[in-house]
Amino acid sequence: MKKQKIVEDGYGPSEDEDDDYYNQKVGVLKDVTKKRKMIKKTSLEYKKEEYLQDPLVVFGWDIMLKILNHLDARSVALSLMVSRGWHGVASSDAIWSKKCEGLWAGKAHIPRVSQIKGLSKLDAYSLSVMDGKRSRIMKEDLWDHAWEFHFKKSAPAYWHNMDPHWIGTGPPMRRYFHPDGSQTADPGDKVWGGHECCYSIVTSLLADGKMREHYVRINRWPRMSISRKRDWGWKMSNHLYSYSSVPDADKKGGTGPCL
Amino acid sequence: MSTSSSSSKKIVLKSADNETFEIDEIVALESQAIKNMIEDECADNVIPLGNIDSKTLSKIIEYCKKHAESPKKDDNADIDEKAVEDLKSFDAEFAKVDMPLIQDILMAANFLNIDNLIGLMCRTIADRIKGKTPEEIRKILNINKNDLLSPEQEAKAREENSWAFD
Repeated sequence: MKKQKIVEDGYGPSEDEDDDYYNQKVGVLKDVTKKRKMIKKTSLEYKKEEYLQDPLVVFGWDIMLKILNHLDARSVALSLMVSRGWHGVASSDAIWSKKCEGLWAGKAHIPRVSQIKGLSKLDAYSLSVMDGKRSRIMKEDLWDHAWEFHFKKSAPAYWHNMDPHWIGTGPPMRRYFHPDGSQTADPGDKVWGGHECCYSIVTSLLADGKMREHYVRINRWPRMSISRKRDWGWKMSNHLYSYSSVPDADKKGGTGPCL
Repeated sequence: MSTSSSSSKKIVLKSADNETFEIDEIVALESQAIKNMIEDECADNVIPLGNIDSKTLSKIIEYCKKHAESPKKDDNADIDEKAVEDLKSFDAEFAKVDMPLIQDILMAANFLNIDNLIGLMCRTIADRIKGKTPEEIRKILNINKNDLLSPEQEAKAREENSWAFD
């Protein structure tokens, strides 16, 4: 005999015949008399079967939102896979707007990929987290940010004596990378001296996609290794000098490579 | 039911299993639904709560009493921290019940519109599923197995949010 499909909660079960949920429902609906007896005799047992249920089905969307809003981002992401119904709530902007705000707060840069119009807030969050873990610097990262520059301790005194970082005569020096391959500084920068500068990003990849070598080089000077800070800022340095990306989280549309 | 000699006004609540609870009006007012009933003067001496059993109702009253006694945040800008801590530890103790009772309390709190209690129960459910795998959550909350994501949907969700599965 084909069993009748019951869709009373908006999350209708399919016609899988040996399903607990289905049997539970049918059992309860079919045998009302038995159920009434059960309530009287073993009310606790009855409750466990009937009440211990999906909060989304029992309480609906609003309460489910409240529950999920108490979870950290990772737990909400895991709850996406609980069921189709949960996926609907757990992927809603109502949850992820706040999570995005929390994630972006205090960050140096907001990735451009997360600011694309029409993107769901969950996607924006995921793309942001993944971009924040990106260790490969792209030309857009160089172009989009201003960079603070200073000499390291091991650099010759000649350079220290012109570096505000060491002699304390003003704000740190800045450097700018341009799409035409050139690099410039602010006017009045003593170290700069008006010479021409060009830069290159060198990346060599292994067959499995891992980076074998990755560095940025200015002119023919020593290569700079790349690292990332907790606030998603970039750092490039060699034994002589160091560059840090200047925070620009307020830049509209975000910064960095598009995809 | 004896008439109260106390000066404060009393409200009587009656549970689904016909148990009556006499409480101070101030305690009953924690429920926005009862508050509205009283304000609209459509509350009789006894308010029947046909969908809340006595076990759940006594928990609800325990909660409302405690919260009615505690100083409210908007009463005073700097209420002493001890009262806040006290209420916090009360809430934590209060929430140490099994999942069926949590759901019953949430159901009743939702019906009676007790905002703080709804929040507390939602947080409690959240605490029980925090950090759990989807499979564990399905078990804890008895999720309908016919509503699962297809393998393709699951793979997609896993791939798009791979940061959560590291």
